[in-house]
Amino acid sequence: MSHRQLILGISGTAKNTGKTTTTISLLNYFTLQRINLGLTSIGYDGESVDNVTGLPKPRLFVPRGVLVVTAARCLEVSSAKLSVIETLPIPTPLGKLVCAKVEREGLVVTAGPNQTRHLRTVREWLYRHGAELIIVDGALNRMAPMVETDGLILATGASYKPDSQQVAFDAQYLAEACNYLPVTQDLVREGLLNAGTTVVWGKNHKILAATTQSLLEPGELEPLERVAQQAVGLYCPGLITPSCLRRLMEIPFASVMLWVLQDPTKILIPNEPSLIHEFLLKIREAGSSVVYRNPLPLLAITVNPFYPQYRYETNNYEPAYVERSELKELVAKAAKIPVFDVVQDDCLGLASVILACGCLK
Amino acid sequence: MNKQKIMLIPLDPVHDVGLKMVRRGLEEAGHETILLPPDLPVEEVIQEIAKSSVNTVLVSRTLGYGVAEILARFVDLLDAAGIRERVKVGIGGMAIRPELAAELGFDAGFGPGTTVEEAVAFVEDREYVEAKQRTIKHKTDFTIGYSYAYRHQGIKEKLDRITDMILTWAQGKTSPGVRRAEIRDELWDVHRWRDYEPMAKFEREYVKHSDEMVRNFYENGVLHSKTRRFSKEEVVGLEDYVARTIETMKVPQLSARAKPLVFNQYGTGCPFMDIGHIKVSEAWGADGVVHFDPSWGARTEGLLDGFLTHEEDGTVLTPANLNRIKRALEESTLWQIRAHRGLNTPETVVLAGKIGADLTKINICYGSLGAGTDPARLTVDAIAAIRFAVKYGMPFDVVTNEELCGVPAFKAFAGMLITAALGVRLGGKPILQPLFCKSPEVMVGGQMTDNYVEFNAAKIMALKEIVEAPIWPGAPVGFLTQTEDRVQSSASTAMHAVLASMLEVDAVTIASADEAYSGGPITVPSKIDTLRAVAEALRFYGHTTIAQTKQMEIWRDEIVTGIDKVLTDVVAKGDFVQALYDGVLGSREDGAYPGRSGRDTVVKQ
Repeated sequence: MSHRQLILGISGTAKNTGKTTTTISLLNYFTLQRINLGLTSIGYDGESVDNVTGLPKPRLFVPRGVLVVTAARCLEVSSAKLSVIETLPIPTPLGKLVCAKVEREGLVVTAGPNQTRHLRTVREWLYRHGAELIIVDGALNRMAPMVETDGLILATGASYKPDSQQVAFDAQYLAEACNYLPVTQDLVREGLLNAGTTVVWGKNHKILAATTQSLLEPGELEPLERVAQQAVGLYCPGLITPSCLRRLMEIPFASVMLWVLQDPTKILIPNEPSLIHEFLLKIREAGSSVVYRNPLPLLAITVNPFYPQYRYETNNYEPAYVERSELKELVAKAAKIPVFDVVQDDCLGLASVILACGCLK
Repeated sequence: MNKQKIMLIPLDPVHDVGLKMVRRGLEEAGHETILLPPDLPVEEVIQEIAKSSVNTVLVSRTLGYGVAEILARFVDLLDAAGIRERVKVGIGGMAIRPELAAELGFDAGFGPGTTVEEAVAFVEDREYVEAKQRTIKHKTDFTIGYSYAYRHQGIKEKLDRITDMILTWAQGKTSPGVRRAEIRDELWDVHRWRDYEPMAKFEREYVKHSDEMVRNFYENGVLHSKTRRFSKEEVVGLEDYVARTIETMKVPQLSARAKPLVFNQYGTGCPFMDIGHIKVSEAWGADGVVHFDPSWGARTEGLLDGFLTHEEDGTVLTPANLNRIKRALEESTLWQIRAHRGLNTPETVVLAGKIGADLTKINICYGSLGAGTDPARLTVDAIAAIRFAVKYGMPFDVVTNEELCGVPAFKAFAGMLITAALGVRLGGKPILQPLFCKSPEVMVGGQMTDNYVEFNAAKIMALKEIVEAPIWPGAPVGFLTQTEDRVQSSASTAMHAVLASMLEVDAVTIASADEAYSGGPITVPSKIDTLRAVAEALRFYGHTTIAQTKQMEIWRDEIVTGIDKVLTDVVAKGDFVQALYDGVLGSREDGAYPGRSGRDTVVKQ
């Protein structure tokens, strides 16, 4: 990451948790700060009504000068005047991705790269064309492409779970899982992490056993189990499913272990937050530690009391809300990272967290 | 195309029918498929994909709240497991749209109406070129193949004699309507008019045979009090609307059956709104549209010009209005302009022919007995109108709406057959248009107390027993059975259309669900109601036939006998026009009154 360049992912725990509202808030703030912005989405944002519930959604009103990467067919439904700079050879269900600049402010519908490798391409394009801060609007609960960002803002709220205490617990577990340190460079240098498979090593960094890249079935752990007593470290470059996570907790590793995971999404996507918490707690209790080869820090959380309530009698949804201040307080208390209500709070607090990353002026 | 390996994944508990259809298409295209059992846990599915060497994954899933998150997590798992880079992922289901597929992270989304070919194209990395349905649908001249041969010799002989009688009577007679039609035919060049060239000679001659309102328009620019010209902004708006609509227009077939063709009426008074209605009719599968003009137009000698909107029912017949409507029509849409009832009958046929209509409507008896035009005048005018219809290659229907006045079907049919026989004699292609609805005759006589089927069927059977000619029931079918309840109206219209289909007629005209009760212009949703209902009913019954009942045969025979008797009376009268005045083809007791409009305007040439 070079000076004055940052790519930020806005992820959500579910639909309607406030990703777009957070994005709008940041766009407006950083435009006023005269920071060159890039905007894209890993889903479909800016539509007037929700694709599933049919309820109205906040629309993306994008200021002049912002660089936007979106699918070709979204240009027709955007009211902002966009001048197309380049079309990328990346297909989406709504046509190829186009890179454009907002010439006249207005509403923009964004449907950008929905795969990790494509977000990488888009990020490089936006940096090449002068973006200092790239905002990647998320989609539903999707996280995988966000590994290409420098950090996450997590939007959560009643739409994820109507029980605010449960929202708070999960926020705590997610913050905990994201905010482990990066792996030290000596392990990287020694080539322990280059095999592309899951490995365990013993003293002197000697690889003792290897298995598949992702740990999808408990049977794939057998080679590791056989050398558990000699192991001092484990590296998994792929997914770890719930059954494998539970099995890993049962393996009697003899000594204090260093767990190297590729990035937080590899355990966050397949597992419930409570199971991840249980796993990480067990590691900590054993005196072991976790590091990420590709860290993805969770910088802040935004909370949204809104949720779409299903009405059985009319077979549709209506807007509903949980108690706003209680939700924020519970999440802030549990997560131990900055928490904002982007509707009620101004954007200054959230922006200061981002600025504190040190990459922007 | 290289052989592809595709995994088909029904993430639903049961809904894998769509995937099975796609699998058949893929296997027919030479690809290898693996169909997973329904409703496996997402993690297990990921394991299956990871273990396989598939190139493409196709998922089907019905959407509900919470399901979007499951699908998004599925895509995320593929991505995080490193599978996404080597596997294309598509999703199909009832609520799936490309926008939602993008949001969920899929490469493609297949919603309702997706063809198997579309899914195969996705697998093969080909751009799917949607079949251009507009080029598939063609205009049909449904009069082709009819011999107009009579099966009932007695009726044929009488019709021949009446035709002779009419032509002899009309010899050497003309009217202002016929003169205007001749002037329109000779002096009004549609190409020059379209190029805004002046038509001074035409206008000079034309106004000599027009009444004051029309003269005032051509000489002083004064419009009819209930009309106005469109503003420049409105015209620009219309042109933009038409261009945008035509660009995205698809013209589906309403049913797989070759007939009956389905016609929709329009005539809101506003040609802009009419064009909107026409585009909706076309988009929902109507094969043709019928232009309705205002009732005062039938009582006025002469036609106006200009792009005019009218504040009441019926869209004014002007060259500009018709020309705008013509330009908005799809190539496959049949277009009928009614000319049947008033003082502009022959001229309307000429104008319709020059602007490019496909069909017109002419009937001496209905126009004389149910629409207010003098019988002598309309007889002279109808002969000219038929000759112009022949010249411009337009078949015409012979409507029997005098039934709506209370004239019994056999009398109305006798009148229809007289105009049709005259049409054939003059080289035309008449289409029989019996009323197919709950007419006053049956309300009084009780023929539809039990069902609407048998008497309507008997009417068609009677006509088929008399002559081999095209039949186009109307207008609209089911009239007077519909209420302000749109569901009831649509259902009734659909059932009448199906009955007509089972009786193997050539076309039907259908109304919108709110046609009789809109209290103003009909609405687009109710137009769609009936088109959808008719399409669904025709699909449901397909080529199912209807059994002929004893009661149908009894009523058929009564109608045929009645027609024969009426024709015998006309022959006995020795004067068709006098027979109209005297009530032979519909009397005052029946509810038919010889019209007065245009009385004493027939003159010697």
